[in-house]
Amino acid sequence: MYTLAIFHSTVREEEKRLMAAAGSRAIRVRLIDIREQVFDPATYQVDFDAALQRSVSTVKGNYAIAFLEARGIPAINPLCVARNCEDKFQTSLLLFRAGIPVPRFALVFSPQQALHAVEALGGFPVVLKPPLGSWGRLLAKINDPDALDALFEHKEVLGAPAQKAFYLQEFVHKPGRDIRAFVIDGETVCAIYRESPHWITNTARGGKARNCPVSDELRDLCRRVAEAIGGGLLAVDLFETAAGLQVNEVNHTMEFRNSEGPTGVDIAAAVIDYCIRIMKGQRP
Amino acid sequence: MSTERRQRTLSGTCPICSAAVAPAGPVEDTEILACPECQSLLVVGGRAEGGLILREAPRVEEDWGE
Repeated sequence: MYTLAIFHSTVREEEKRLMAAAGSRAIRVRLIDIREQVFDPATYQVDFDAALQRSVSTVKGNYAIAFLEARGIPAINPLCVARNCEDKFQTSLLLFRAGIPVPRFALVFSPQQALHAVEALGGFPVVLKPPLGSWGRLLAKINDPDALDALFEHKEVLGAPAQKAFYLQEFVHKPGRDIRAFVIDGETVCAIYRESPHWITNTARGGKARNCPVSDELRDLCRRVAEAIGGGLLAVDLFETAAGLQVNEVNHTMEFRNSEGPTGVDIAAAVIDYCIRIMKGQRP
Repeated sequence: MSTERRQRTLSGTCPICSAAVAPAGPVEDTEILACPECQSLLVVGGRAEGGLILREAPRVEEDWGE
């Protein structure tokens, strides 16, 4: 019998569904609170075959993955995938290099350079995002130079060092929604529209989920995204534009409680099936 | 299948407003609950004599998310 460790910092609905899916497949689960661990390579006892990293803290999760991989334990997702997804600038660079359509973007360290970037991005409005962040937090739609100056000053004075790298993205006029695709091992298992009258459509910010049919364009694009990022379990966020789909962001610790209902897809089961393949050594 | 889980089926007391918090079903340690009275987010911190240990849930930190 295989044992899957689920590293967590809080048990959410997702973790409950994952445990139920594992149970129905005769997989033993070790629920491990990441905050209670002592990652001492000389003493840490490993009694599981693979680790599914579900901590909401990216920093803690990445340290855990690094430790486990150093011990030869497969982590899902591996550290390289987590690192490629955690930083939006890094993600955008990888996708851009792979020729995947993305909104125009730039990274600057000063408001003066930001003005040059805005001009190259097509002018105001632009979107300012923290390179490290999630759930639609700390996003700003900047409509004019005055707002840009104010935001930069706030971040310079109040922000941590990571907040002083300014990731700018062209503002994409969306049709009242965007798309989130759930991609496992390169295959798009399902997708949702996230509909909202607000330009921020995250379900964490009130966006409503509705099934999105997986078109050939969507499936092929997500396969290419997975190749560029390193595979694994990915939640790919996309915009619909006149020129076709563009990839906005890629997430490596997907939440899916609001998506199984609209899509009719048991995402938890698909995740566990992937973990089983890892444990059986069928995938790297 | 055996899972090493610490499921709790008891109730607890909101540390913010002292209301009774009685989950509809079993809850796990570290699970987040909402107080039915004051709506505070609470985290299940284990079990003590008489019921669940409930603490105010930690604030979302900068690196939290997907």
